[in-house]
Amino acid sequence: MFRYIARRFMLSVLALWAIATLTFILMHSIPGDPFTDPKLPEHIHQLLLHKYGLDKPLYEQYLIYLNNLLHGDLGDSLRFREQSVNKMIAQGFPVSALLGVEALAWSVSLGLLLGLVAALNRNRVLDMVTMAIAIIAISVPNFVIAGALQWLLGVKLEVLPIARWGGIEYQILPAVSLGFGVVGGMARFMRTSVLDVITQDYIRTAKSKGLSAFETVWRHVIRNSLLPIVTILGPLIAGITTGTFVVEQIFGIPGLGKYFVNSIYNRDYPLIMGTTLFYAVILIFMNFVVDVLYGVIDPRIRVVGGKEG
Amino acid sequence: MRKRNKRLLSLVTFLLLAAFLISACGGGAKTPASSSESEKTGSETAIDKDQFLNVNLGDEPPSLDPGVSTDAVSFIILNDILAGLTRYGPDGKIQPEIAQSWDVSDDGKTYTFHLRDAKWSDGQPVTSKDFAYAWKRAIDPRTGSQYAYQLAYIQGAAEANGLTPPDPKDTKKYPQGDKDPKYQQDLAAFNQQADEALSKVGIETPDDKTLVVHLAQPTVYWLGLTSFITYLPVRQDIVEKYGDQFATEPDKMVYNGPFKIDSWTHQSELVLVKNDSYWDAANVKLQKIHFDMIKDITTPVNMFDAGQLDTIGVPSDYIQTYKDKGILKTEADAVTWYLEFNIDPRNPNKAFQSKKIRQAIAIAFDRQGFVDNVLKNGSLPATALTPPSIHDQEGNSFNEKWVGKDLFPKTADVEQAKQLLQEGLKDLGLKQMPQVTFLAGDSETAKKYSQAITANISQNLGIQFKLVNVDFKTRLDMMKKGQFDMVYAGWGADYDDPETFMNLFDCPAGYTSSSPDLYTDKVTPGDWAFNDPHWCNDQYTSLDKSTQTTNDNTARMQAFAQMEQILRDEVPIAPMYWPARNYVEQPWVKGIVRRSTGADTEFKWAYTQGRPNS
Repeated sequence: MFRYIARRFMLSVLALWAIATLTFILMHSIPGDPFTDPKLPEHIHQLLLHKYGLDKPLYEQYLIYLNNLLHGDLGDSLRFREQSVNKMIAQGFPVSALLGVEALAWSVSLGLLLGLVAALNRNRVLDMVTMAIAIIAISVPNFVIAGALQWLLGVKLEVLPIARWGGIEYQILPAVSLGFGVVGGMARFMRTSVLDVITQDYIRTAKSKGLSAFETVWRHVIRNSLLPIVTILGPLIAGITTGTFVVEQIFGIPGLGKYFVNSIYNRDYPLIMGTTLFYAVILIFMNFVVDVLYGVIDPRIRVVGGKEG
Repeated sequence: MRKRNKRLLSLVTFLLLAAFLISACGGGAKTPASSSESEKTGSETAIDKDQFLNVNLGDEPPSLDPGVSTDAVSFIILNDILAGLTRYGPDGKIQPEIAQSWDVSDDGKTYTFHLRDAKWSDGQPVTSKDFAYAWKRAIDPRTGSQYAYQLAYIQGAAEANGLTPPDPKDTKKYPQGDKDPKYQQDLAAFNQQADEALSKVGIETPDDKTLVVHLAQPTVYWLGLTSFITYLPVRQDIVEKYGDQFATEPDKMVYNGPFKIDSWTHQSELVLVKNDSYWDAANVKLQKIHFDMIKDITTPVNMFDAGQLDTIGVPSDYIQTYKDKGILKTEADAVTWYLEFNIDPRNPNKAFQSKKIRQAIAIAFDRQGFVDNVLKNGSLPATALTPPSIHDQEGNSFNEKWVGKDLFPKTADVEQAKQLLQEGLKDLGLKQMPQVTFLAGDSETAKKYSQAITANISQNLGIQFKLVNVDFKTRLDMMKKGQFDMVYAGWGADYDDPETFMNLFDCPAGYTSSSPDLYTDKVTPGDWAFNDPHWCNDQYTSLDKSTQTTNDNTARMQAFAQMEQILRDEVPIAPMYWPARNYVEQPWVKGIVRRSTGADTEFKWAYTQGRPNS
């Protein structure tokens, strides 16, 4: 196990280095720079580039960046003067993560339930109804859901805040909007997985040894169907807890989501690098967690370094 | 099986714990000011007892250091928390602020300001040194102030700001980079040079209450600029105490304006409260302003409709809705949108070398139809470069009084345009008009507008366009590099004088139209400055210079009017429209002042009257 973790760690560092390098090259190939401004005289533009070391040769900037990165310093934002990227992520991530966990908590549970119901009632009315719900949930973009909820519950009925960030009442609408698409995806995935499991021999065995339908489903079907779900949960958690641009913008939530997009428009190089790498770290970490969990949940799967053959 | 159950259980417990920990970091509820009690005893004219406003700022202020701040969001806050020498009043006239009075020398070059007794929020007096320090700090090339050029009118300022430090990556000169002894030597020399140049800048402080400023030229609109953000005072001891962290948190700055920052949750909300140590606090009625930083455009509309915001700017999709409700307010902006033609002979597309072809396009566009059918937001067809909201020195609209006619037609003159196009093509020896690369922004509105503009011209003249929609910074970069045939661009006034528009199209400094080097690499993008068409007209440039050396209103305005006529005849640009600002306010909101230059929303005189109890 230790050898496996060590190897994974080395691979992750390599992947992060590749991502950092690629992002660095790509972002510097976009025309313009952080100080491009229609009203900025050229000599002051040069001075600013000089002040922030952006007039140095690219490879030099790259080495400086990597060196700072090794010391855990993501640099200062160039758009929001003197705010460190480390601090911006430290402030934004807990907000996005809380919202993400809330959104996933309800949407994954509901999605799994719908998928199970659909599979157990395959080709019957309940199946069609739940799958119709799933397809609607997938195809309606979350900004439409967000706008509709905001208008109905915020403006018309005045039961929940329209926007801003604070206590639980501020989190309900964004968490619901954010989870909507997940419900659909989860339901469809779970349905396929359950259908696959219930044709297996061990289910037939379970039934034939006289287990009740409930027992069979509870003990054998659900647990085995969850295995593939764990695989997609890794990237899903990474994606949603690091913030989403649209939902956070609509509800005025001070999360990470907007930095991913706006930093590129602002050519805020340190913030582009910081958010990209942070997301990469979370994603790599979640995939690692999934791999470890896999072995824990299913003893048949042994990771490298365990017993082989 | 049991063991696995246990593992699952501990996993669930871990996740729950993680969720709890994360939520504990999320911070408590923040409820903005929302309750109110009207003064019940008074008549209907009494103002509300609880004086507050809820406003959407739209974004985090990128910098509240007046020396380096350049954006509209920061300007609104800075204008509220700091007081300069002057401030524009609700009537649009310049008013004394920290300067109680001032004298101007006969040649119009020396201003002597007499400061009133005013205090910073920490009890220290506001002195002339706070202004001298702030201005020299912005002029100092080592500060990297983007708006230093706003101070370039002051004697010696442009020279000091124009100094450049030695470049450590110049390996020919400094083989050892920044550790090279020669570099260290040159750097020390530069620092000394900069200090010397700064000491020669025409700002004097004979005593704490007197500030004397020497201008390089008699600049008539300079007094108005003393209300501008870059001219706000800054305390040396505070800047030195906090260094790079100056003005990044409410307790890392001091205030001398109508309000001070009570709390600032970055990227989320900012709360201002009345500053009781402001010299004119008696005339500030608001106790509190709560700013949200919501970037979405529809959410503020919902919040306004629910009474949670007191005023919002109206996005174009909602203009008709509020117009129908009868509460839409529209104000002219000091902005012009225009088309620029790439006249540089190095541009492969030679069509715009012909004045007639440029004229043809300029008159083939239906400005009125565009404003009425596409924009539908109170904008006006632009018949000249300078918008009507820019005034002469006596407060008259420059366009109305001195231009006085439509230089560019409001409706298309298709017949004449076709004829001009044919003549132009014939002059150039072209059989047909080459395809035109049309550069524009990539926002939804910019896409829609650029499509409408090219479709209209294409329909009237049969010209083929290749639309290139790119993001803002890419567009600016392509404009600087001359990678366009036509570009859809805009300019907003920096101050209330036609010069703010007219000087955009001067020849590069030190060059005339007959300079052999004009269209070579010797003339840098920095030399061309804002002149993206690369158009150089000697008469135009000398007229502009003449307006900078006199303060005679008639002479200056006549020169500007003549320059507008030259723009019409030569058409390096074709003005399109003058945009309007659309906004709504709740009925209880009074006294917010909106302006077209500088900080665009002013809260000093704002108050509420008749806010419903909630």
